[in-house]
Amino acid sequence: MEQLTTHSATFSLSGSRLAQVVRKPVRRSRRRKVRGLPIWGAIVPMPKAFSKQRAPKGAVSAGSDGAASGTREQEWVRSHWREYAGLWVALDGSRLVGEATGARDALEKARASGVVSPFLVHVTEPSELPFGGW
Amino acid sequence: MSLSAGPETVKLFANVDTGADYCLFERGFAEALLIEVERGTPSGFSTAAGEFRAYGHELTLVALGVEVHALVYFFENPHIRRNVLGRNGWLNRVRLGLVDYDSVVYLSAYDE
Repeated sequence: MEQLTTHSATFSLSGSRLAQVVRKPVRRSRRRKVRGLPIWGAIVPMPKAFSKQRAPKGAVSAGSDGAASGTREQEWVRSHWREYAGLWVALDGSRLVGEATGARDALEKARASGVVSPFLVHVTEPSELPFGGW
Repeated sequence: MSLSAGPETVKLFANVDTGADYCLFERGFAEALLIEVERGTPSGFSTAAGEFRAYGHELTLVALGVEVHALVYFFENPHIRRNVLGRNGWLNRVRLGLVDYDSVVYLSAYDE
């Protein structure tokens, strides 16, 4: 039995195990160059991420299409914030279904147009400064 | 993500904030859900830029397909425009991995 000591812990390894560790080839870094990042990124359900059969590369949404994830609504806000800055808007995909100075009023306008559960966004002018946290 | 209180549900955009102790949302979303903000549990919060007051309410959150029931806070000040998913009530209910380099998020409910 051989004792290996670090600053904070002591490990006991048998002679054969130590030999295995010593002989273990150094693995080359798995880091690879990413040529093209996905525009919206990807969300991978954790069980798939760590299962033996890895989630397909470049996949995956968390069981949601663009409509559920809000990507079309985000695109709409990026394109129209100048016209609606300061207002609450209700969005159904890339369609404006309500606007008001209050969130509840925007929601009710959306419901009056037949959309029960729209995305609600308080439209603001995007800051040109980098975000510094709180 | 979505927030639900009884029969009322709203969808909104929020940021994951591992530095936030709780989930915090704009006051307007409480009003959209017909919640009286000041009837919740009052609490002060500190930030690098100062302090603010918020009120806690028990709601159902669904974010990225994971549903939790949790105490979340709404800002007292209607001019604060931040919506964050913090530790208590959300991050402590999920397993979350982030590879910013690849723009990939790994997520599941904690007990999944």
